[in-house]
Amino acid sequence: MTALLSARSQMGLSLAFHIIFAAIGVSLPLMMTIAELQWLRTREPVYRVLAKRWAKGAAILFAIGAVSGTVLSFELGLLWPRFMERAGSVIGMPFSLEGFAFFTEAIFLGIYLYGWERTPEFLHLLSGGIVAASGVTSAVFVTFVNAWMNTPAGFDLVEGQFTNIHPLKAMFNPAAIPEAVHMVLAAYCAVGFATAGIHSFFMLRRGRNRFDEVAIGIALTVGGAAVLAQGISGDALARMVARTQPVKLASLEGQFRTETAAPLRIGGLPDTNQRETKYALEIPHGLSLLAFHDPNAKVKGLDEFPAADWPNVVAIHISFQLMVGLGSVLSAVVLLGAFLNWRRNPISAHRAFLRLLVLCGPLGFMALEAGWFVTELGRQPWIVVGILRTKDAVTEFPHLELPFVLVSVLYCVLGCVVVWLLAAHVVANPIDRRADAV
Amino acid sequence: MAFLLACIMGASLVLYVLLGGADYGAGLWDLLSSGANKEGQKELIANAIQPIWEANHVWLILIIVLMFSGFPPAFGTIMTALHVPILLMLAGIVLRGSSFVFRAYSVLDSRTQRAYGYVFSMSSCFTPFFAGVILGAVSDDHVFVSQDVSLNGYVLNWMNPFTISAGVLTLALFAFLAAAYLTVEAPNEELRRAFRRRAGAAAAAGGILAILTFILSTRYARGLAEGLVHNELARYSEFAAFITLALACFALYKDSARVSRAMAAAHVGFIAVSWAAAQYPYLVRPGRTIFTSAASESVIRDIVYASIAGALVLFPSLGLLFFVFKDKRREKTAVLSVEAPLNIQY
Repeated sequence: MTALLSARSQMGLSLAFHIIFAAIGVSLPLMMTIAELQWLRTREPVYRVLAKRWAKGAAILFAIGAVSGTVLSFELGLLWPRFMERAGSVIGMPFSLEGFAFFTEAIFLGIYLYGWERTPEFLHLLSGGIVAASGVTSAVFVTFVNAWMNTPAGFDLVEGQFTNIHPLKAMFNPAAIPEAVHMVLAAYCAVGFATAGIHSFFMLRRGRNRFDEVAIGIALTVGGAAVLAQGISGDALARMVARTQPVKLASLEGQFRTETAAPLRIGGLPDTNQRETKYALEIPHGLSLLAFHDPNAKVKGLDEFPAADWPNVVAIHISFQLMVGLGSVLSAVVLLGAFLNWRRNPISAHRAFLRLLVLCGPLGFMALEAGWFVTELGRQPWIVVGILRTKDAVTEFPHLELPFVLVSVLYCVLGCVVVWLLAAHVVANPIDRRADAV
Repeated sequence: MAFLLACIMGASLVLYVLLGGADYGAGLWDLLSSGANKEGQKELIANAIQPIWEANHVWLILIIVLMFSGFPPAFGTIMTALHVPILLMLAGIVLRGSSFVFRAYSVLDSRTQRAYGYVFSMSSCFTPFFAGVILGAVSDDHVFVSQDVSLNGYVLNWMNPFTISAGVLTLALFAFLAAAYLTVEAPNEELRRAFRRRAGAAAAAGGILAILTFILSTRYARGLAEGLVHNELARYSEFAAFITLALACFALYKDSARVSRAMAAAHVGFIAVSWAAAQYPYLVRPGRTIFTSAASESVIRDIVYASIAGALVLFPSLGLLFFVFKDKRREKTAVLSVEAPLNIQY
């Protein structure tokens, strides 16, 4: 294993692991606050139990998110010291602000979790709201950093060094807002559907009950609204990518040749040797229309760029198709759910729909990871697009496979324990209150 | 401005030591809990750190972020040359945090709960040890990085008697803090006495280790030793640390828990300040000072402003957190009861 591959694997694994917990840290607080708001409005005890259960889930997962996030902030330097030495001061602003947002989240989560009996109801609800808001804020700031790596801005490049740095301009680089919105919505979507899936599973086992019913209601509302908004956000993001990162757009669409009125390819397998995407269903004018809102627009193909600047086209194309496909499936499911609800049949009475929700449970997270692969693999071979190559940023530390193995083993064990604990606590039968004693 | 940012980092370090450090020290006392009220000690420790440890931990992240934003070359040097101890500290951070929540939530199975408790207390000890080793290593003139390669290798550049002693000293100081805090928070006389004894022992260990570390520094970290002797702020802080340690011991002897808590915090704070003052202006000895590795003036100014804005949000929130959980007068309302079964069926 080369040093570069070890470092990339370790960074990729750490991010793929952290993103799950970060997404939960963004969304679960929103859902628990909604549940508590409902408890205060209706005084129906089932909402209070639900808020407590979800808060407990947030506590377990937030702690893992906090420590895995700490690992990441060090890994930036441990694995990519040359990147941090040169770019650290450009991306320092969003990271510093993220630090404070994260601080706020940790403080108010502490108050929320252990303050049920110690704070007035209003303050407690407010703490929940602050946790949800600061979770979103810190996710946004971190995504700003990633956006900067994709569309660097806010500096002059003099002999390879960043000079005349404007931290705010760097923070609000072209990709910043579209990418951050897409990320936050993805987090809501993933966690909403996962939670709805889990509670549907238990509803099928326990029989129809109010606890799982209200849980599915809140989770599906959050996840469903997010996945529908994701269509608009995805469009804005894709147009930004088309404008600023033509190589990435061409890779994710499997577009090898520059053409006007480019078709949209659904499915298919890019063949980098023959430079064509086979077996795809092609919709004429589709890509030009989507990427530039003009059916005859010219879309740059990969052949305009040296092959050394190509990312892994096959992996990106498949990940992108997977993300879009899963998003479409989830949108259809939530529209179906809304239709069933509108027909005055509570969703919980439809066993077939509940089974469908169980099947959809993991899809949101799969779409989230696939989307992350698209943006990260699509940035390669650059660590800062157009400026610094990933292979030139990796540390000179020998034996990089050792930390990779250490991190892998650690995260595997943690992942297993977390799943087991959640099963015991968050989704435990609400009639059994032993689990609520902590 | 670089000096101001370095001061903010130094203040964050002191706060991390006083707040987060005590959480690590509490883990050591969990490991060493003994006697008839062993379970009571563990419970007191868990309750004391549970609501606040995550917030306390963020100081560390803040220090790292400020460092790579404001002083990128120094950050690169540390991360390259001290890869090994940093990785070990990170493993400790991950294990400590996760096993703590795992333990808190495995009430239904006491055997796994004990296993997590063991991981928690062990990692609570070796994390601050490696943190101390890292602080020792950046002050002992052995960390050279040239062309992105560490000239003294990746192990021997941080492993010597001075850094080891600094690591153990860090652990002892954290243990002293934790014991002094827990003496105040103990709900009954028996627990209070247990932690009062432990605070005394840790104070003695800390004093001896501080002297040992200083003696070793004259051989292994000459630059730092010189700073400890000649820098005025360092000298005043050392004197204050000595006085507060004596007062803390006297308060422990007189059984005045609140005074000993304040004096313990002041003592450890002054030790941290005297290290920072002696280290000034270096971030990493011997090559990187805050002036040679500072980013451009405008960048540093923006980060300082961002930190001030962040602090305006942070400190009131932090005050609220400690008011809710550490104010004794609110204690009696916080009785947890097992709630009645909930009827959810139609």
